[in-house]
Amino acid sequence: MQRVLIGRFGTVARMGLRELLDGQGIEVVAEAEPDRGIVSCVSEVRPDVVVLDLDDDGSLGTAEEIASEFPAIKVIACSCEEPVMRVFPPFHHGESYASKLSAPLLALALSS
Amino acid sequence: MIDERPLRIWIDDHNPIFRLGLGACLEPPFLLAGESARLSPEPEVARTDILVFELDQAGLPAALRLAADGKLLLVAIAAGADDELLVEAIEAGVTGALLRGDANPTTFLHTLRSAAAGNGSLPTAVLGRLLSRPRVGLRGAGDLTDRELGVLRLLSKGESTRQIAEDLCYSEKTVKNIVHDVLVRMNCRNRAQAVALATRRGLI
Repeated sequence: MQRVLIGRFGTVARMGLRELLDGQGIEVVAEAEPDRGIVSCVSEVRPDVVVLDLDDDGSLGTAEEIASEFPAIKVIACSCEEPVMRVFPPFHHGESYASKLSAPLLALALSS
Repeated sequence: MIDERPLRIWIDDHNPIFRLGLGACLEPPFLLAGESARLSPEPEVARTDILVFELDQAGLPAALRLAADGKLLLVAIAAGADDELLVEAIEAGVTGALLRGDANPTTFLHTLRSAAAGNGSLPTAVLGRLLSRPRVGLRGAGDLTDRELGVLRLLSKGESTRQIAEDLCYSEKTVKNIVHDVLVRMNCRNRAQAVALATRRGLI
């Protein structure tokens, strides 16, 4: 079972993400705290996957930071506006690919 | 007032996270009737009371078509307050609108409650925009009495029936009757549409 850490999202998006992951039987082990850097959460929680907000301009930089500090952790940045996500697979030096976003596709990306 | 009969909400949004999040905001008397992305699968109008849809060039006419028989209420989720489509939507009879960036459980439920009560609800920024639009002229002004125009002006400020009654020293019943007459005379579905039309025509 993959352990998932959720980064900072707007209220509706966070509720939706929770709902989506619950529906796919995926466990969320922690959510980023508002006044604490995500990287410090990652280093404490040591999740298998981190989900970030692709609409947040800082997310791509954060994803690269996580990829370089914790190369075994997968990062998935999901948009809450367009149905797209960007997947940073583990051990790929911050390389990423874009994919369509749907509940089953996100579940697949999280658990594969 | 809203009675406690369940109100069935259909949510349309092409982003699955945002769509599920709006669904998760619902609490009684609101129930999720179904969901769709870009109106696919097509909302089941027969078992829906309020359709929440994404306001864009394709979404607006499609939603208006679904609501054409007059029973379905429409609530638009708009990307931004400067969206010309928002004005168009309100004038076409969309009951409520909410900006995507303003959406949270409180604002979403408030918008749904207002829509269900027939009051309509608009983001403040949008209301301001409607009021600052260039006036088209006084065409049609003769159709409304001073009393009706007075009520419309207060409606445009976002006042409730009770506040208007207090301001004008009428009973709430009288205010409701005036509003009803205005809606019939202007051929509008709700207060928001009447305010939008009156503003555009330069009546208020």
